[in-house]
Amino acid sequence: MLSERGQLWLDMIGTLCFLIPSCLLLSYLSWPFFMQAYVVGETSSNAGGLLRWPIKLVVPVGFVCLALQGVSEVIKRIAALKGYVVIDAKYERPTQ
Amino acid sequence: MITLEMMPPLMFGGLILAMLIGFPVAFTLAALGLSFGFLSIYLGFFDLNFLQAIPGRIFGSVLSNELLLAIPFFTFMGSVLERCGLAEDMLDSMGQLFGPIRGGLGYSVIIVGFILGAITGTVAAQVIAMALISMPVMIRYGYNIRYITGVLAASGTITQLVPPSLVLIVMADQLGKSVGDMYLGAWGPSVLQIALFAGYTFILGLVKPYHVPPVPRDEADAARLAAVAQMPDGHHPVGRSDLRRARAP
Repeated sequence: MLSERGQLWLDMIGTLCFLIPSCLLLSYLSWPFFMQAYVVGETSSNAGGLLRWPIKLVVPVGFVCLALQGVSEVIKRIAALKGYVVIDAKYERPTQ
Repeated sequence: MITLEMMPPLMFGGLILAMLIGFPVAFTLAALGLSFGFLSIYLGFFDLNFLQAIPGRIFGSVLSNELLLAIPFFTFMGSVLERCGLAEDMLDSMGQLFGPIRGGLGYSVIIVGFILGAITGTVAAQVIAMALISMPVMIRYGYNIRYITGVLAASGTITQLVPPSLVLIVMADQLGKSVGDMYLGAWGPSVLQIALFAGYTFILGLVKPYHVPPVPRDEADAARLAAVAQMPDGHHPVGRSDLRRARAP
Protein backbone atom coordinates (compact mmCIF):
# COMPACT_ATOMS: atom_id res chain seq x y z
CA MET A 1 0.00 0.00 0.00
CA LEU A 2 1.12 3.50 -0.76
CA SER A 3 1.46 6.18 1.86
CA GLU A 4 -1.13 8.93 2.15
CA ARG A 5 0.97 11.36 0.13
CA GLY A 6 1.84 8.70 -2.41
CA GLN A 7 -1.83 7.98 -2.94
CA LEU A 8 -2.51 11.69 -3.42
CA TRP A 9 0.25 11.96 -6.02
CA LEU A 10 -0.99 8.84 -7.76
CA ASP A 11 -4.55 10.18 -7.88
CA MET A 12 -3.38 13.48 -9.31
CA ILE A 13 -1.17 11.95 -11.99
CA GLY A 14 -3.77 9.32 -12.81
CA THR A 15 -6.49 11.91 -13.19
CA LEU A 16 -4.28 14.12 -15.36
CA CYS A 17 -2.96 11.30 -17.55
CA PHE A 18 -5.87 8.83 -17.65
CA LEU A 19 -9.20 10.37 -16.73
CA ILE A 20 -9.17 13.82 -18.31
CA PRO A 21 -7.62 12.88 -21.70
CA SER A 22 -9.83 9.85 -22.24
CA CYS A 23 -12.98 11.74 -21.23
CA LEU A 24 -12.19 14.68 -23.49
CA LEU A 25 -11.33 12.37 -26.37
CA LEU A 26 -14.54 10.38 -25.96
CA SER A 27 -16.64 13.53 -25.85
CA TYR A 28 -14.84 14.85 -28.94
CA LEU A 29 -15.51 11.57 -30.75
CA SER A 30 -19.17 11.43 -29.79
CA TRP A 31 -19.95 15.03 -30.82
CA PRO A 32 -20.38 14.23 -34.56
CA PHE A 33 -22.54 11.30 -33.50
CA PHE A 34 -24.92 13.73 -31.80
CA MET A 35 -24.72 16.36 -34.55
CA GLN A 36 -25.70 13.83 -37.19
CA ALA A 37 -28.78 12.77 -35.23
CA TYR A 38 -29.67 16.43 -34.63
CA VAL A 39 -29.33 17.53 -38.24
CA VAL A 40 -31.30 14.59 -39.64
CA GLY A 41 -33.90 14.74 -36.85
CA GLU A 42 -33.48 11.06 -36.08
CA THR A 43 -36.34 9.39 -34.21
CA SER A 44 -36.46 6.18 -32.24
CA SER A 45 -37.59 3.06 -34.06
CA ASN A 46 -39.86 2.09 -31.15
CA ALA A 47 -43.57 2.83 -31.18
CA GLY A 48 -44.12 6.53 -30.50
CA GLY A 49 -40.82 7.46 -32.10
CA LEU A 50 -39.30 10.02 -29.73
CA LEU A 51 -36.54 12.31 -30.93
CA ARG A 52 -33.11 10.80 -30.46
CA TRP A 53 -30.77 13.78 -30.29
CA PRO A 54 -31.37 14.63 -26.59
CA ILE A 55 -30.19 11.21 -25.44
CA LYS A 56 -27.26 11.31 -27.84
CA LEU A 57 -26.33 14.71 -26.47
CA VAL A 58 -26.03 13.03 -23.05
CA VAL A 59 -22.91 11.14 -24.16
CA PRO A 60 -20.59 14.11 -24.93
CA VAL A 61 -22.08 16.24 -22.14
CA GLY A 62 -21.59 13.43 -19.63
CA PHE A 63 -17.97 12.91 -20.57
CA VAL A 64 -17.27 16.65 -20.38
CA CYS A 65 -18.84 16.73 -16.91
CA LEU A 66 -16.66 13.79 -15.87
CA ALA A 67 -13.56 15.62 -17.13
CA LEU A 68 -14.61 18.75 -15.18
CA GLN A 69 -14.96 16.63 -12.05
CA GLY A 70 -11.45 15.36 -12.80
CA VAL A 71 -10.19 18.96 -12.83
CA SER A 72 -11.89 19.48 -9.46
CA GLU A 73 -10.25 16.34 -8.07
CA VAL A 74 -6.83 17.50 -9.27
CA ILE A 75 -7.31 20.86 -7.54
CA LYS A 76 -8.34 19.07 -4.33
CA ARG A 77 -5.28 16.79 -4.49
CA ILE A 78 -2.97 19.79 -4.99
CA ALA A 79 -4.56 21.56 -2.02
CA ALA A 80 -4.14 18.45 0.11
CA LEU A 81 -0.52 18.03 -0.93
CA LYS A 82 0.17 21.65 0.02
CA GLY A 83 -1.53 21.07 3.34
CA TYR A 84 -4.50 23.41 2.95
CA VAL A 85 -7.11 20.70 3.40
CA VAL A 86 -7.22 17.12 4.61
CA ILE A 87 -8.95 14.62 2.34
CA ASP A 88 -9.56 10.92 2.62
CA ALA A 89 -7.46 9.32 -0.10
CA LYS A 90 -8.29 5.68 0.60
CA TYR A 91 -11.18 4.38 -1.49
CA GLU A 92 -11.67 1.15 0.45
CA ARG A 93 -12.67 2.78 3.68
CA PRO A 94 -16.32 2.15 4.65
CA THR A 95 -18.63 5.06 4.03
CA GLN A 96 -20.72 4.69 7.16
CA MET B 1 9.88 -3.91 -33.93
CA ILE B 2 6.34 -4.53 -32.75
CA THR B 3 4.23 -6.74 -34.98
CA LEU B 4 0.46 -7.06 -35.01
CA GLU B 5 0.61 -10.45 -33.30
CA MET B 6 2.43 -8.93 -30.34
CA MET B 7 -0.29 -6.41 -29.59
CA PRO B 8 -2.75 -8.60 -27.61
CA PRO B 9 -0.10 -9.97 -25.20
CA LEU B 10 1.38 -6.48 -24.82
CA MET B 11 -2.04 -5.07 -24.06
CA PHE B 12 -2.72 -7.81 -21.50
CA GLY B 13 0.60 -7.15 -19.77
CA GLY B 14 -0.15 -3.45 -19.83
CA LEU B 15 -3.54 -4.17 -18.29
CA ILE B 16 -2.01 -6.05 -15.36
CA LEU B 17 0.61 -3.34 -14.80
CA ALA B 18 -1.98 -0.56 -15.01
CA MET B 19 -4.28 -2.35 -12.57
CA LEU B 20 -1.44 -2.66 -10.06
CA ILE B 21 -0.97 1.11 -9.98
CA GLY B 22 -4.11 1.47 -7.90
CA PHE B 23 -6.05 4.09 -9.82
CA PRO B 24 -9.81 3.48 -10.26
CA VAL B 25 -10.30 0.68 -12.76
CA ALA B 26 -12.81 2.35 -15.11
CA PHE B 27 -10.49 5.21 -16.09
CA THR B 28 -7.43 2.99 -16.18
CA LEU B 29 -9.18 0.71 -18.69
CA ALA B 30 -10.34 3.64 -20.82
CA ALA B 31 -6.89 5.18 -20.94
CA LEU B 32 -5.20 1.84 -21.65
CA GLY B 33 -7.56 1.04 -24.52
CA LEU B 34 -7.23 4.47 -26.06
CA SER B 35 -3.46 4.59 -25.75
CA PHE B 36 -3.08 1.17 -27.36
CA GLY B 37 -5.47 2.33 -30.06
CA PHE B 38 -3.25 5.33 -30.78
CA LEU B 39 -0.14 3.15 -30.70
CA SER B 40 -1.75 0.90 -33.31
CA ILE B 41 -2.68 3.90 -35.44
CA TYR B 42 0.90 5.14 -35.21
CA LEU B 43 2.23 1.74 -36.25
CA GLY B 44 -0.29 1.49 -39.06
CA PHE B 45 -2.34 -1.49 -37.85
CA PHE B 46 -5.47 0.47 -37.33
CA ASP B 47 -7.35 3.25 -39.03
CA LEU B 48 -8.22 6.53 -37.30
CA ASN B 49 -11.77 6.32 -38.66
CA PHE B 50 -12.40 3.20 -36.58
CA LEU B 51 -12.45 5.41 -33.48
CA GLN B 52 -15.72 6.83 -34.79
CA ALA B 53 -17.31 3.53 -33.78
CA ILE B 54 -16.78 4.19 -30.06
CA PRO B 55 -19.84 6.47 -29.56
CA GLY B 56 -21.92 4.01 -31.55
CA ARG B 57 -20.93 1.28 -29.14
CA ILE B 58 -21.57 3.46 -26.09
CA PHE B 59 -25.04 4.29 -27.36
CA GLY B 60 -25.91 1.03 -29.06
CA SER B 61 -24.77 -1.60 -26.59
CA VAL B 62 -24.93 0.27 -23.27
CA LEU B 63 -27.38 3.18 -23.34
CA SER B 64 -30.08 1.51 -25.40
CA ASN B 65 -29.78 -1.85 -23.61
CA GLU B 66 -32.97 -2.38 -21.65
CA LEU B 67 -31.48 -5.21 -19.57
CA LEU B 68 -28.81 -3.02 -18.00
CA LEU B 69 -31.52 -0.60 -16.88
CA ALA B 70 -31.94 -2.81 -13.81
CA ILE B 71 -28.50 -1.96 -12.43
CA PRO B 72 -29.09 1.65 -11.26
CA PHE B 73 -32.37 0.61 -9.64
CA PHE B 74 -30.77 -2.28 -7.80
CA THR B 75 -27.95 -0.08 -6.60
CA PHE B 76 -30.46 2.50 -5.39
CA MET B 77 -32.47 -0.13 -3.53
CA GLY B 78 -29.34 -1.50 -1.92
CA SER B 79 -28.21 1.90 -0.68
CA VAL B 80 -31.70 2.70 0.68
CA LEU B 81 -31.72 -0.54 2.66
CA GLU B 82 -28.17 0.06 3.84
CA ARG B 83 -28.96 3.56 5.11
CA CYS B 84 -32.20 2.61 6.85
CA GLY B 85 -30.37 0.15 9.10
CA LEU B 86 -32.15 -3.01 7.99
CA ALA B 87 -28.99 -5.10 8.32
CA GLU B 88 -28.45 -4.09 11.96
CA ASP B 89 -32.02 -4.94 12.93
CA MET B 90 -31.95 -8.27 11.12
CA LEU B 91 -28.68 -9.35 12.67
CA ASP B 92 -29.98 -8.31 16.07
CA SER B 93 -33.19 -10.31 15.87
CA MET B 94 -31.51 -13.31 14.22
CA GLY B 95 -28.91 -13.30 16.97
CA GLN B 96 -31.66 -13.40 19.58
CA LEU B 97 -33.39 -16.22 17.74
CA PHE B 98 -30.35 -18.45 17.22
CA GLY B 99 -28.12 -17.15 20.00
CA PRO B 100 -28.72 -19.79 22.67
CA ILE B 101 -27.83 -22.72 20.41
CA ARG B 102 -24.24 -23.69 19.61
CA GLY B 103 -22.89 -21.66 16.68
CA GLY B 104 -26.05 -19.59 16.71
CA LEU B 105 -24.43 -16.27 15.86
CA GLY B 106 -22.75 -17.98 12.93
CA TYR B 107 -26.13 -19.17 11.62
CA SER B 108 -27.57 -15.71 12.02
CA VAL B 109 -24.73 -14.16 9.99
CA ILE B 110 -25.17 -16.78 7.25
CA ILE B 111 -28.93 -16.29 6.99
CA VAL B 112 -28.77 -12.52 7.08
CA GLY B 113 -26.04 -12.59 4.43
CA PHE B 114 -28.27 -14.75 2.24
CA ILE B 115 -31.35 -12.55 2.60
CA LEU B 116 -29.51 -9.25 2.33
CA GLY B 117 -27.50 -10.57 -0.60
CA ALA B 118 -30.73 -11.18 -2.44
CA ILE B 119 -31.68 -7.56 -1.84
CA THR B 120 -28.63 -5.37 -2.07
CA GLY B 121 -26.41 -6.96 -4.68
CA THR B 122 -23.30 -5.00 -3.74
CA VAL B 123 -20.55 -7.09 -2.20
CA ALA B 124 -18.08 -4.83 -0.44
CA ALA B 125 -20.66 -2.71 1.35
CA GLN B 126 -22.38 -5.77 2.72
CA VAL B 127 -19.24 -7.42 4.05
CA ILE B 128 -18.23 -4.22 5.80
CA ALA B 129 -21.68 -3.62 7.25
CA MET B 130 -22.05 -7.15 8.59
CA ALA B 131 -18.54 -7.23 9.99
CA LEU B 132 -19.02 -3.92 11.78
CA ILE B 133 -22.22 -5.12 13.40
CA SER B 134 -21.62 -8.74 14.29
CA MET B 135 -17.86 -9.10 14.72
CA PRO B 136 -17.68 -7.32 18.11
CA VAL B 137 -20.60 -9.41 19.39
CA MET B 138 -19.04 -12.68 18.26
CA ILE B 139 -15.67 -11.78 19.77
CA ARG B 140 -17.34 -10.89 23.05
CA TYR B 141 -18.98 -14.31 23.28
CA GLY B 142 -15.69 -16.04 22.60
CA TYR B 143 -16.05 -17.26 19.03
CA ASN B 144 -12.85 -18.36 17.32
CA ILE B 145 -11.49 -15.38 15.36
CA ARG B 146 -10.69 -17.55 12.35
CA TYR B 147 -14.26 -18.79 12.24
CA ILE B 148 -15.63 -15.24 12.61
CA THR B 149 -13.68 -13.75 9.74
CA GLY B 150 -14.32 -16.77 7.56
CA VAL B 151 -18.06 -16.83 8.03
CA LEU B 152 -18.33 -13.07 7.54
CA ALA B 153 -16.33 -13.06 4.31
CA ALA B 154 -18.10 -16.12 2.95
CA SER B 155 -21.66 -15.05 3.63
CA GLY B 156 -20.95 -11.45 2.69
CA THR B 157 -19.71 -12.38 -0.76
CA ILE B 158 -22.50 -14.84 -1.53
CA THR B 159 -24.25 -11.76 -2.90
CA GLN B 160 -22.70 -12.60 -6.26
CA LEU B 161 -24.78 -15.74 -6.56
CA VAL B 162 -28.08 -15.19 -4.77
CA PRO B 163 -30.72 -13.91 -7.17
CA PRO B 164 -31.41 -11.12 -7.96
CA SER B 165 -27.74 -10.26 -8.30
CA LEU B 166 -26.19 -7.67 -10.57
CA VAL B 167 -23.52 -10.06 -11.80
CA LEU B 168 -26.17 -12.40 -13.15
CA ILE B 169 -27.86 -9.57 -15.06
CA VAL B 170 -24.60 -8.64 -16.76
CA MET B 171 -23.89 -12.31 -17.50
CA ALA B 172 -27.36 -12.80 -18.95
CA ASP B 173 -26.72 -9.85 -21.24
CA GLN B 174 -23.38 -11.25 -22.38
CA LEU B 175 -24.60 -14.83 -22.83
CA GLY B 176 -27.80 -13.85 -24.58
CA LYS B 177 -30.00 -15.80 -22.15
CA SER B 178 -33.04 -14.47 -20.32
CA VAL B 179 -32.51 -13.05 -16.84
CA GLY B 180 -35.28 -15.25 -15.45
CA ASP B 181 -33.45 -18.39 -16.58
CA MET B 182 -30.23 -17.16 -14.99
CA TYR B 183 -31.99 -16.53 -11.67
CA LEU B 184 -33.74 -19.88 -11.79
CA GLY B 185 -30.41 -21.59 -12.38
CA ALA B 186 -28.69 -19.70 -9.57
CA TRP B 187 -31.17 -20.71 -6.88
CA GLY B 188 -29.90 -24.27 -6.54
CA PRO B 189 -26.20 -23.43 -6.15
CA SER B 190 -26.86 -20.55 -3.77
CA VAL B 191 -29.10 -22.60 -1.48
CA LEU B 192 -26.59 -25.43 -1.60
CA GLN B 193 -23.80 -23.06 -0.65
CA ILE B 194 -25.79 -21.69 2.29
CA ALA B 195 -26.50 -25.26 3.39
CA LEU B 196 -22.78 -26.05 3.21
CA PHE B 197 -21.91 -23.02 5.36
CA ALA B 198 -24.57 -23.95 7.93
CA GLY B 199 -23.47 -27.59 7.86
CA TYR B 200 -19.87 -26.60 8.48
CA THR B 201 -20.96 -24.48 11.44
CA PHE B 202 -22.99 -27.41 12.79
CA ILE B 203 -20.10 -29.88 12.46
CA LEU B 204 -17.68 -27.38 13.99
CA GLY B 205 -20.10 -27.07 16.90
CA LEU B 206 -19.99 -30.85 17.37
CA VAL B 207 -16.24 -31.31 16.94
CA LYS B 208 -14.88 -28.15 18.56
CA PRO B 209 -17.70 -26.66 20.67
CA TYR B 210 -15.37 -24.07 22.21
CA HIS B 211 -14.94 -22.44 18.78
CA VAL B 212 -18.64 -21.58 18.50
CA PRO B 213 -20.00 -21.24 22.06
CA PRO B 214 -23.71 -20.52 22.55
CA VAL B 215 -24.74 -17.15 23.91
CA PRO B 216 -25.78 -17.64 27.58
CA ARG B 217 -29.57 -17.96 27.77
CA ASP B 218 -29.92 -15.20 30.37
CA GLU B 219 -28.37 -12.61 28.08
CA ALA B 220 -30.47 -13.65 25.12
CA ASP B 221 -33.59 -13.35 27.26
CA ALA B 222 -32.50 -9.97 28.55
CA ALA B 223 -32.10 -8.75 24.99
CA ARG B 224 -35.55 -10.08 24.11
CA LEU B 225 -37.07 -8.32 27.13
CA ALA B 226 -35.47 -5.06 26.12
CA ALA B 227 -36.95 -5.47 22.65
CA VAL B 228 -40.41 -6.04 24.13
CA ALA B 229 -40.06 -3.04 26.42
CA GLN B 230 -39.45 -0.80 23.42
CA MET B 231 -42.63 -1.93 21.68
CA PRO B 232 -45.95 -0.10 21.95
CA ASP B 233 -48.47 -1.54 24.43
CA GLY B 234 -50.28 -4.65 23.45
CA HIS B 235 -47.63 -5.97 21.06
CA HIS B 236 -45.87 -8.82 22.79
CA PRO B 237 -44.20 -11.18 20.36
CA VAL B 238 -43.12 -13.60 23.09
CA GLY B 239 -45.44 -15.61 25.32
CA ARG B 240 -46.21 -14.70 28.92
CA SER B 241 -44.48 -17.77 30.33
CA ASP B 242 -41.39 -16.74 28.42
CA LEU B 243 -41.47 -13.31 30.02
CA ARG B 244 -41.95 -14.76 33.48
CA ARG B 245 -39.07 -17.17 33.07
CA ALA B 246 -36.83 -14.37 31.89
CA ARG B 247 -37.67 -12.23 34.90
CA ALA B 248 -36.85 -15.01 37.36
CA PRO B 249 -33.25 -14.83 38.59
